[in-house]
Amino acid sequence: MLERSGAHAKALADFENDRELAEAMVKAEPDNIDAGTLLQIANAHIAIEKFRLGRKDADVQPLNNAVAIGERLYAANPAEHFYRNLLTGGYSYQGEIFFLTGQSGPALERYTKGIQMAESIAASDSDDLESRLQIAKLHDTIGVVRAHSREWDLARREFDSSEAGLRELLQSRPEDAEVLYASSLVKQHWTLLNSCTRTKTCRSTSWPLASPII
Amino acid sequence: MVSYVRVLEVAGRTGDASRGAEKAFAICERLSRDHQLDASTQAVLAGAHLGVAIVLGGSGSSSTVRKIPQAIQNDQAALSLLGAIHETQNPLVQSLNVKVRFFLAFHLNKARRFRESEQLFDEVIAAANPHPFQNPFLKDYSNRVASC
Repeated sequence: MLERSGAHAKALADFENDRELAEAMVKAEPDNIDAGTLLQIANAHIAIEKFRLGRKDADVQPLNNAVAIGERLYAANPAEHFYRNLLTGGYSYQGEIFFLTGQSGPALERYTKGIQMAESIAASDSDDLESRLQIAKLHDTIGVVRAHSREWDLARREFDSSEAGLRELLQSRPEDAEVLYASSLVKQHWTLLNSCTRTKTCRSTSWPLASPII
Repeated sequence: MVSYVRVLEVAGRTGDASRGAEKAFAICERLSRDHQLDASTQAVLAGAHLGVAIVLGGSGSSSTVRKIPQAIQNDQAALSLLGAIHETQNPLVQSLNVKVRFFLAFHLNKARRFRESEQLFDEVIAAANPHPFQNPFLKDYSNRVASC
C-alpha cells in the first residue's frame, strides 16, 4: 500500500518485516508454496524499493530470482491467474529498474513482456478489470521511456493507447479512484512531452510513473 | 459455496466468481430474514459480506471486477454485524473481526484512501502482533494477500 502512496522508505521497512515473517514460515514449512511465494514477493518489493530510494545496496538479483520462480510456478499451473498477475508486476519492476539505471532498451523489453502477460489475462477473463488497468498504466509508462529516448511519435502513440484504455474503464467504473489517478498521470505526461519536445530533451524532467501494483 | 467462488476467482472466471459471491450472500441474507439472528448466524452473515467484498474488491494480486465502493460497503456491513455480537470472546468472531478490518484496509487502499487504510492496517498489525507466529490469521493473510 505504502508504495502506491509514495512512502517508499516506510514501504521498504514494511517489506523487510514481511520478509522476516515469510522466512520464518518457509523455515517452518519448507514445502508450503504459499509461504515460498510470499517470500519471493517480499524480495521483489525490497529490490524495487531500494532502487527507487537510490540505495547503495540495491540489487536486482533477488527480483530476478523471484521472477524466475514465478515463471516456474506459472508454467506448472498456467490456469492460475494469480501467477500471471504477479509476473505482470515482476516484469514491470524489472523494466523500472532498467529505466532508473538509464537502460531504455531492456526497460522497454521488460515492460512489453509485462503488457503481454496482462493481455493474456484480459484475453482469457473478460470480466477482469485489473489487467485492463495494468495494460493502460504500462502503455503510459512505455510512453515515458519512449519520451526519454526522444522517440516523440512512439511516446504519443503509447499515451494515446493508455488514454483509450482508461476511457473505456471509466465508462464502466466512473468513480474508480485508481483509474482517475492514472488518467491524471497521462495528462501530466502529455504536458511534459509537449514541453520537452520544444527543448528536444526529456532527460532532465522528472516523470512520475504509475505503480504497476493495483 | 465460498470455496467454489474462490476457485472460480483463482481460475480466472472473475465474472462467475462475482455472481457466485452475490448469490451466496443473498442466501445468507434470506436466512437471516427468516430466522432470528443468534450470534453464530450473525457471524456467518458477516463472513458472507466479507466473501462478497473479497470477490468484488480483490485480495492481493487477484483478478477482480473492481467494484471497490461496493467491496468497502460489504466490509463495513460485516464490521457492523460483528460489532453487534456481544460474545466478544468467541474465537470465530475475533478471527472474523481481524480479517474484515484487514480487507477493509486493503479495499480502502485500492480506493486510494491511503490515510484511513494505513491507520486500519496499523491497528490490525498491532492487534495481531503479540504472538505473530501463533496467530492463524497471519497465516491466512500470507496465503490470500501475499502481494498487497
